[in-house]
Amino acid sequence: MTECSTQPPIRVALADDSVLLREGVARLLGESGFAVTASVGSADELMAQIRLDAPDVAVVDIRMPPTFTDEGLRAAHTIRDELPAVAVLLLSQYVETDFALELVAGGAARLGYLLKDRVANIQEFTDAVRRVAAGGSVIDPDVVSRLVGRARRDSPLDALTEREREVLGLMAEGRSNSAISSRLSLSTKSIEGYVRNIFAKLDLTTTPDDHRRVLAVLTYLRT
Amino acid sequence: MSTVAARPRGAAWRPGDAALRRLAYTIFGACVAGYALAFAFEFLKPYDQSVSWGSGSVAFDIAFGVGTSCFPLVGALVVHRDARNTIGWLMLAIGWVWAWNAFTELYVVYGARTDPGSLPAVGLVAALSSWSWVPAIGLMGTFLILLFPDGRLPSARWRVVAWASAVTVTVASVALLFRPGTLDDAPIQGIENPLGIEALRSFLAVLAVSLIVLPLCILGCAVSLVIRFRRSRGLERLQLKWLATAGAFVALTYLVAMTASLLAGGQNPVPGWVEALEEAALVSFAAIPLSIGVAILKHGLYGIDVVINKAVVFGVLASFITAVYVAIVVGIGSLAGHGDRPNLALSITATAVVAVAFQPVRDRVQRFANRLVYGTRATPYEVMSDFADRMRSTYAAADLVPMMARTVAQGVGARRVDVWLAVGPGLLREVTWPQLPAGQLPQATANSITDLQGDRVVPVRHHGDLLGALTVVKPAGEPVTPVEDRLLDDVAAQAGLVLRNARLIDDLRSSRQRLVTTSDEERRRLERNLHDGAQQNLVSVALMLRAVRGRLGPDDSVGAALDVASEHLATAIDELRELARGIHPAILTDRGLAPALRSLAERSPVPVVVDCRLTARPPANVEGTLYFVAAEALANVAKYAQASEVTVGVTTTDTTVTLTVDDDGVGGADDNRGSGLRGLVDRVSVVDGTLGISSPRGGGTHLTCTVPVMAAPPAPNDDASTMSTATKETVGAGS
Repeated sequence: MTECSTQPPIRVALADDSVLLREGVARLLGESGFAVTASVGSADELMAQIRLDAPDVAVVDIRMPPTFTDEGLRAAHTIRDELPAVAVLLLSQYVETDFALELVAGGAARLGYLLKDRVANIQEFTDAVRRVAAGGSVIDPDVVSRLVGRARRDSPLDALTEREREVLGLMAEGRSNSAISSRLSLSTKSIEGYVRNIFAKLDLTTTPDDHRRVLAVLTYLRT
Repeated sequence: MSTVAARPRGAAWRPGDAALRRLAYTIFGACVAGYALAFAFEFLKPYDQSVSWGSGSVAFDIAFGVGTSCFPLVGALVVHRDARNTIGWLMLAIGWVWAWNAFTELYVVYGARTDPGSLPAVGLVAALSSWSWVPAIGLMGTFLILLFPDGRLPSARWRVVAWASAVTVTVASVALLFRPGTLDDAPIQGIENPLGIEALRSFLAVLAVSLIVLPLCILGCAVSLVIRFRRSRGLERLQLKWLATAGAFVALTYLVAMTASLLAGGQNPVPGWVEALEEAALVSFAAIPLSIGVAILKHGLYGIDVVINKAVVFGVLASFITAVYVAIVVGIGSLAGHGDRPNLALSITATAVVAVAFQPVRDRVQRFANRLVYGTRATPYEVMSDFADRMRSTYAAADLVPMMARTVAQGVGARRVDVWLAVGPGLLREVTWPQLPAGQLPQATANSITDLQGDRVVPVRHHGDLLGALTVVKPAGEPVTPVEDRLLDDVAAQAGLVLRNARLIDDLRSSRQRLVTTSDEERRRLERNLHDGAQQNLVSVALMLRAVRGRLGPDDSVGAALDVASEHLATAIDELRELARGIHPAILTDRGLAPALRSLAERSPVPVVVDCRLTARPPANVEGTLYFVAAEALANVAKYAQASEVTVGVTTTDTTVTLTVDDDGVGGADDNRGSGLRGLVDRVSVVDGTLGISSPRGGGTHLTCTVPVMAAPPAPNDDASTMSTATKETVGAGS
């Protein structure tokens, strides 16, 4: 999770039709110690590039030419089918729960889904790239907060404490227990305790696998 | 109507309908010829009451002739329509026997008395004539009643009666034909039967006793009719009512006439009014075949309505003229004592009376014939007044054109009617009759009115401006009659207004549709521009700010200012995103109604349950309409309803999509709040949908919005179809 200068840099391929943004992100990643292997403006070009030279992570805008609908999403599916070792971080001008669930339904490992605005927060963004490169999942906090904060009648979430809700949200964002513990400055042991409590209160079966956990939590929150 | 073939039992060959029809016309012609010859003989002989055919006078004979000649006439009409109709052939047979009877009796009278020796084989003809009343009465009293109206027995057990009738009529006829001795039933007494077989005298006498069975058979058949009537439903009951009415009429007339004869009994000569009544009773016999004809022909047979109509008119007029002549020339003539020779003055008087009375009588008879033939639904006058009534009444303007097609179709008995609307330089089919389920009418266009096909193409104009046309297709072999032509012209004249309204409504609807569609496209374009243009650029700027900030020290005062600017920028980007969402949510375009509604639900401050049961994506304008209705409704619920839960449901049928939004709040929503919804009524009406709100105080608010979609599988959204193709391509390229 932490930056390790002794290891080779994480190789990233970029696809975004906005040149300005793409170049900004490329420079930012370069300055943060990543190696940008490709920077293209469409899904087709991206596919061509990564088939030649597979990166660790593909950062892909969802809306790209020619139809500006979900080219990036479809490219993500293709990458997962063809090159499962390549992590995908999808960026979008807007985030929707439906997309998030559709994405993680096929397995949340090496997958991220972020609001495009997040790139401006360098720390958050590079952290997300590293997490997916390391095999984790990233779900945009907006999606999670909308799901957690959504109006419900007789919600089991009401039984959770403030801290437990916080932990639940971070789980839904795809963070591992150790990431949550460092984020909340608590011991991993106490985080594990919170997680057990949450799963008991929500009547969810615990799973040691972080990616399955994301799916379970998101699906739970969705219904 | 019967389709039972009238053909000899067991016959191997089956004549064609055309041949059968020709045979029917021939029989009818023979009947007419028979009566014509009979009347020729009648007028050739000097007036002699004692030797006349029937029961007495010339008038009597004419009345009887008119009454019985209706049988072959109606029979021929029925066969013209349906060549294998048993009842039609029965009536032809009855008519033929009566005509034979009339002709032969007068032949015998003329040959034996008027001008003895002038005609050959008078004895033989008398023999062939004297028994003919048996089959005439027999067929009329048994089979006609037993088989009416469908040509079949009421049930298998009536076969006994049918056989008994057939045997009785045959045996009695044969017995009378060959009985030796004088011909009792001949009009002239004392003629020896040349066909009489002396050897069989006693045997034939025994056979003749079978005549006693005939009344029993007739009684049995009458019972069958009563039973049939009690069992009958619908059309058959109506048909039987016709016959029953006619039977009642004949019986009543006879009752009156017979009572009169009894009252005047013994007077000699018989008073004129009694004689007139007796003649009326004879003429009333025509009611039986006429009622049978109407019962069989009336329903669904517009093509020969006019023929029947004319036949009735001419028949009644002919009787009228004859009656006037008979009354004046014969009646007054005999009173004045000049009965033995024609009186010129009386003839002129009769002619004058006929001439003066002809037109008024003809009008009345025509009206009567119209009623008789067309019934209550389709005299041209009634079609028009019905049409005008409906135009005035509560019919929605949109229903007028289909209604017009139906009116025309029913008025002229068309197989198919199309209404075309002039659109630009060409014509577009607006509706067709018989009506097809919504959405199944294939689109049809024509370049000009001369390209339209049909038995009749009637242009519809308004102030000389071509608005559209009616095309009429009649069943094969039924031409458009002059009456129907007039009706079509009249409807076309009225239709101008209807089509003009239809065109105005069409114009209005399409212009509103254009407006909404344009505004939807505009919204989507705006949303895309905001997301892909402004928002991306702002994010790039934020990125640059961050980059610059990274080069400054943590305590740099400019850096602190940049931090503040970055935060504001982030807020601005958030607001911009929400703005784009409000204008047109991208998820609606990208993913469809259900995800868009779920997205709405996630953002609602009131708990929302979404139950979306769509099997396929409706057209984009329907999705947009339903989404914005739901969004507005949810906003209203949050603002006013004080609800603890809202349910948003989407259900679908083959032809509609329905959105429901139900909350459990305070209800009592009125028009003043939620004005946004009223604005949506327009949107909904553009896609021909309906929007209903029920909001009882304390009972929550319930909104229902139903929008029609094509009956065909819902048109896939453009994006969706491109997506699936593109996916395949991508996969194909990768593998």
